[in-house]
Amino acid sequence: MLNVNELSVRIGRVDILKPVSFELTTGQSLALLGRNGAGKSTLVKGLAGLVKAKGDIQLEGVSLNDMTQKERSRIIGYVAQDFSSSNVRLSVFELLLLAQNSQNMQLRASPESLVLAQEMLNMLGLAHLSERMLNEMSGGQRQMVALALALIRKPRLLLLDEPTSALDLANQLQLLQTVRDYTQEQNITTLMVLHDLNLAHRFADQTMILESGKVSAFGDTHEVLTAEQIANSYGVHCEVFIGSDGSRSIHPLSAI
Amino acid sequence: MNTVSQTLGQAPSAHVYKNDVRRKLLLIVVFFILTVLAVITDLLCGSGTLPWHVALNGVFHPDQASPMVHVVMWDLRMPVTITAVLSGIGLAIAGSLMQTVLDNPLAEPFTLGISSAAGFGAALVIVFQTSLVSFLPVDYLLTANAFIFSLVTVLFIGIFAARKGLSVEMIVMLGIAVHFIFSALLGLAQYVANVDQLQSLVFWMMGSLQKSTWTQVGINAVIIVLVVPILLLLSWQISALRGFGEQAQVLGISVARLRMLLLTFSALLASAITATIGVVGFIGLVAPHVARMLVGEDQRFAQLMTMIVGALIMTLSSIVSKMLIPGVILPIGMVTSLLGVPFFVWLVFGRSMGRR
Repeated sequence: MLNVNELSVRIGRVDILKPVSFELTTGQSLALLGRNGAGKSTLVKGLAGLVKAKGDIQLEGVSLNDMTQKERSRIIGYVAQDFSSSNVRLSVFELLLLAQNSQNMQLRASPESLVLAQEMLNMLGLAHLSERMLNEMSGGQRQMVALALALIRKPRLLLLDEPTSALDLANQLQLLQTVRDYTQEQNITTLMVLHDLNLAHRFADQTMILESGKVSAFGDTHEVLTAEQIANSYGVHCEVFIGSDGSRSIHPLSAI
Repeated sequence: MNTVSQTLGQAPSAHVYKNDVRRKLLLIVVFFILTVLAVITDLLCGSGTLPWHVALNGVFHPDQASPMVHVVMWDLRMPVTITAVLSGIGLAIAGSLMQTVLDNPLAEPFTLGISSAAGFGAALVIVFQTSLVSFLPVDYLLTANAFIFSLVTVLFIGIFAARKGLSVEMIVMLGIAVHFIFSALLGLAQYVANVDQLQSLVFWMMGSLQKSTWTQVGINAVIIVLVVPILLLLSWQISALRGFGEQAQVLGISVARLRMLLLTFSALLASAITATIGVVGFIGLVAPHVARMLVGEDQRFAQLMTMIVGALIMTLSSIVSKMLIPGVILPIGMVTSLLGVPFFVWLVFGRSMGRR
């Protein structure tokens, strides 16, 4: 269980994130939605400890506030929005070793890290990119690598900031399905910032919509993503279709 | 989604990686041997006419050598050669660290004004006979003053930047400002200096190995022996910093603290070496790039290779400085610049054409 109590972030004189409280059961995925500048990335960074945040965060009964960044990094996996702009000249396999050995004070990579790197490449279908340098890859391939780097540290809380922004349709579905399966199989908690409401419908158990740093809606995805709520939060008229299997799809019609 | 069973048939990446590690280690050994050969050649070269077998005998059997050979080999050539190796190692690794801290491939040990600060520290002693450490013996005043000025300058920039939370770009700008301040003061010192003082100062600024002493060798060796093992132990963290920048925090790395530590080490190495031999450019810029081209970005290999390449370039420059004009030993800084400029131009243009 993830318990977030009155989490807020102030940068300079601006309250980017006003006190936010929510709970999320382990094994569930939460989609963070909202217009640009609503505070979605800041909330994720606050949870990751990348920006100074006030408030209490408890993960599986343990307070993250009392942890050092080093301790927090052992249980949190984070995929940054701008990771794809990194021009690092390390191969994917080297990056996977680096993600596991970053605290290693020995020159030799741990033998387990070699095995795990191979397993992760296989699991995400990235084995053919193993020797490829990050700066020789497409934006979408980099996002897949970024996910691999987060998962290989076996996080208990997975934070994804726009993980599908550079992916083609097939890879969007593959990545989010992987995340969903991993979240359920490993019984971890996942938060992902998304812009595509249909993807949120399909892959998120819970959805939170932020507006100007405040929560405007939070709950089960199919209850939150209604035509009325979307009109309120996004200023867009839309229709929500319910398929015969219960799946939902959103068709935007016009801006209000 | 691909499954394990679907990808089992593909080449195991771990095996390829292990082969790559072996290739890198082999390259490191090859370059180490090349450096040892260059060191021996440097010892055999000199302004005098000592036959090579006599010189070699003087090195390996000092008790059997004549007093003259003993003095030439052990008091004159050996400190110069060892200083070349140590300063090559120190400047190369200082450059590599500065490139990491400033996240800029064109950074070098002197980017934050070490050269002009050290130059001003030297000018105070040469021109104004003033030193911050006037209690020291006269022989050490120049070196100590240059060392203190350069070290304090970079540490001031580092601490100021950390306190104010300056970005990397702002740190570079601050370094440029500090560089211009000390350059102006250095110019003032040169303006008021008499001919002898001006000659001493200009010669010091050019960089020279020839005044190396065993004491200076000892000081530089101690600094390198203290700093290098720590850097090697931090190899993974430095790789993460180079690879992920600020985002290395999510791997549990205290980015600000690591940057400050690396900046301190870079300043310590560059200051000690500059104070000893004067301003020697391009080693700190070129050696890390050559090393990365040979063994890649993994700092476990890149740092070792950077040190070896630095020592090799410096030793080869020392040989060239003695051999280029018979009977004349050119300032080492001039030689490294002449050798380094073509590489620097290639680096800049190659980069703009996307070949790096």
